[in-house]
Amino acid sequence: MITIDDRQIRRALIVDDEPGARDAYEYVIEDMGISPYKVEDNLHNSMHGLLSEIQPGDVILCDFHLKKRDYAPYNGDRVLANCFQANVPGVLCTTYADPSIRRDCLRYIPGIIKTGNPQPSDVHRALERCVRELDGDFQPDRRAWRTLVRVDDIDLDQHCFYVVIPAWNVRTKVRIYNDNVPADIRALIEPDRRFHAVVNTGAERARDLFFDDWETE
Amino acid sequence: MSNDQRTKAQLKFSTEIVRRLGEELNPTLDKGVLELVKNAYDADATECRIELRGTDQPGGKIIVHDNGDGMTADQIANGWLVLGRSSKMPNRQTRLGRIPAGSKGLGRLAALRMGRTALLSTSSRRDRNRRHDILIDWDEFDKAKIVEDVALEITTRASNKRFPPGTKVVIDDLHAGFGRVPVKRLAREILLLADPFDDNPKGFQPELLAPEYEDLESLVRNRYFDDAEYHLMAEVRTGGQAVAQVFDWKGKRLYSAEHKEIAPRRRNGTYDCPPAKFELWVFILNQQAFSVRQSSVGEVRRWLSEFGGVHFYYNGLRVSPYGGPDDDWLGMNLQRVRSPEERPGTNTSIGRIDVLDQHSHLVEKTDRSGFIEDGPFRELRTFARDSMDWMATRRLREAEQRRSLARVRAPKRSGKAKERIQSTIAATPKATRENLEKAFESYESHRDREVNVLKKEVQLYRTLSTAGITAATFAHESNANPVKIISQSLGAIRRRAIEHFGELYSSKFERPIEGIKRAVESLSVLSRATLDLLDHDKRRPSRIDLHEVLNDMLLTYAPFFKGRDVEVITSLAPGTPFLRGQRASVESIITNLLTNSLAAFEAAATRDRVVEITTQISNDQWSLAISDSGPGIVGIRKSDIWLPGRTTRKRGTGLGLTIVRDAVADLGGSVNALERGPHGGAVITVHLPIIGT
Repeated sequence: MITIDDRQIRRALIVDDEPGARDAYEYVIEDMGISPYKVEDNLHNSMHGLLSEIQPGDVILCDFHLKKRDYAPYNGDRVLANCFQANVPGVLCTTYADPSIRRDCLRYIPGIIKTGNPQPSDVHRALERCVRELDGDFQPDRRAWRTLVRVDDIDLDQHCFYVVIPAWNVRTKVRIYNDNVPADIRALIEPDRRFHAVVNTGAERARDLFFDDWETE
Repeated sequence: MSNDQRTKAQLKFSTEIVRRLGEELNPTLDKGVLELVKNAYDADATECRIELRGTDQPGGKIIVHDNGDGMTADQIANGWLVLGRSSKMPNRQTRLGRIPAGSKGLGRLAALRMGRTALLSTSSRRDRNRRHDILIDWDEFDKAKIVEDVALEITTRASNKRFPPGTKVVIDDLHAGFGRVPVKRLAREILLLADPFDDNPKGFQPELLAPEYEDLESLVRNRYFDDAEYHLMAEVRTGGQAVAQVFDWKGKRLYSAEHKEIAPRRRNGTYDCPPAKFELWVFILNQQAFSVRQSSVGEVRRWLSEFGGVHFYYNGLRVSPYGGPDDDWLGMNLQRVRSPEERPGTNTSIGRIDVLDQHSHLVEKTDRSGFIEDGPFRELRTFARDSMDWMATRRLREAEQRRSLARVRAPKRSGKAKERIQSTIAATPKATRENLEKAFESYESHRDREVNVLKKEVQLYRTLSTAGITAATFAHESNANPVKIISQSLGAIRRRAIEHFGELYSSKFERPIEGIKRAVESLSVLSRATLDLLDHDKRRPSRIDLHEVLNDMLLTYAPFFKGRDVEVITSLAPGTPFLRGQRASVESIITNLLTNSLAAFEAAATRDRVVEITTQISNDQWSLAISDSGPGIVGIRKSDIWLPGRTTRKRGTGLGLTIVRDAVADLGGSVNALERGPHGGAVITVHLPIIGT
């Protein structure tokens, strides 16, 4: 068991569609002094099934890609966003800055680590970041602000559109995939259309920006 | 006291002036008549009939008759008859919201002078119980000395009956005859004033009656719709089911589709909007497509630039701003940028959506500037876009089929052409025949060589594309799983070995474990570099900071250089040079040049491997020089290194430098090579124009 900011952590659920990878994460968790629990059953039934396995003192270590095998109907970003909203700390493991992490989920994923060679200290730091956000303590690059978002361009072929956030950087166009925004907003997307959304305008890189709580102007 | 006598005087104009003005303005038929048509347009006429009777000979007659606002006697005397001053305010719109098109009245003088007499009959909308006539007989002017000597008379006829409002001008006994060309020009100009669709009650609908030129009459009647390459007719019916058909310019049906095919991605199935019809005429504006048409590309282009786009009709009435100037409410132009061949834009198509909304599903904005963009309106827009998407897909499919067919047919056709040439040569006199045969043989062998080179190039590109797809799949797979598992397991072994064996770890385990670690790092760089290249965003034109790209690439390649004992020396010019283009192009240039150096070292087993990367900025140009300590350019002519497929290395593709050359050309730059540079190996220098630093 370890303690992060008064929160006792006893067990880590390991979610990955590759059995070998679950074993590999197990070593890191063991070396942290937490008890690993590999989620072997596929997650097709529902997100609720996974959440119902969670007990007090649990955290979740989840790989981003979960759909290569017959394991889950969604990726790890959805799992972690749901866990965060259920007050369960979690860490997302990605190969490297994965462009397909959903921007709406990103708001609820403070802890992201690279899958390459994560050390127990990396996982610990990521969990710490997550626990603090759950307690309402945000780093400047993760603080959410309601701000103006202007659609610059749409790309039907790639199912995405590009926005400019004047409060962040007027010169950079940020890509958002269509399915990352609610259906009612998606229907309104067209060049020059303006919306309000909650965005972490303190982020340094475009790929770290999250978008949530969209409103029409 | 003064004895000065004062006599009133005024400037008078000799009738000679009027004659000269008329001559010097020397209107052609189109300019003159158009002036009268513009007067009708400015008077808010919805109908205007232009009749040309016998105008191909002197003595003919022109009649322009409209149903506009007409004039009172006062307006005739103080407006119509006053030359050189217009009572029209160019910035003020007319009653129907038109922007006045006519000029200052001089054009009208020129028009009226085309004949021996000009008769005006008009009845004002404000006073329809009177009709005013005035006849101008130009012979009277020729007889008189000054303009004021010719008395003009407005005859007013009052009646209990109401006269239809409007104006009729008859120019009789034309001095000259006019041929087809000015009539055609007139028809074109009239079309630019006319409402594109003839069922707008407020629109301007001119009609040309010219019995000598029936085709031009029909042009004015039918606009340029007959010249459209494709005509899309789509419909969303009550209940939300859509159907669509596409016709070619001869009216033959090309494709048709039911709802499912038009809206394959819709989850709920139907469109939740009032019933609507969508028609779109798509033009292919090039000389080839128009070679068999009556109209020219230029005139259609002008017409489309005036009226192109999709107009919106709500319960029969046109609604602004849809389809107006600069309005692209369906986002057509954006789509066209991506695939210009299959997609219509507002400058290459004209269309209309007719919505019959008996239950007021669509809600107009309070300022009447279109509809509130709520559910039904969005659904309607989606239907229109889906219909265009469907047409684009079908056209793309057809283009692909055409390409495949052309590939099959081309050899047969060239075979036949060859036979024709040979038989023609055989028919020539013996003296020249031999020379011709030789010349043709030589041409043939050169052409075969060229075809072979192209075939090889295509095959090579195909092979490389497949290699790229395979590499990307492998990169995804290896990076996601095996590499991850090796790396994490190795991390666990290392941590646990240090804890378990203490000092024994460094003497017995550290080296092999670090060896595996380095190998895994190289492997993950390989996948990362491959995946990095494939990012879709890199193929979008945008601002590119050249030094940033260069530094990123060097960072990605660092493990490769390290693994191959290559020392990298960089010397970048101060500043942040940037250009607009595709990042993928710049990355292709750098990747291929670096890969070339690495391959050269390996091929020549070079020792002391050095790659020097230098950049310079001068006169809006960025230069990148990559020199190495490899063997230099040997075993191949310097000019041949850019040719596809030419390589000195076994299993080399010979495409690297060809891609560099093409990518540099795409960015508007140049590239050159030096056989041996400061480090003994080749130097390749790329020059690219930049926007700033």
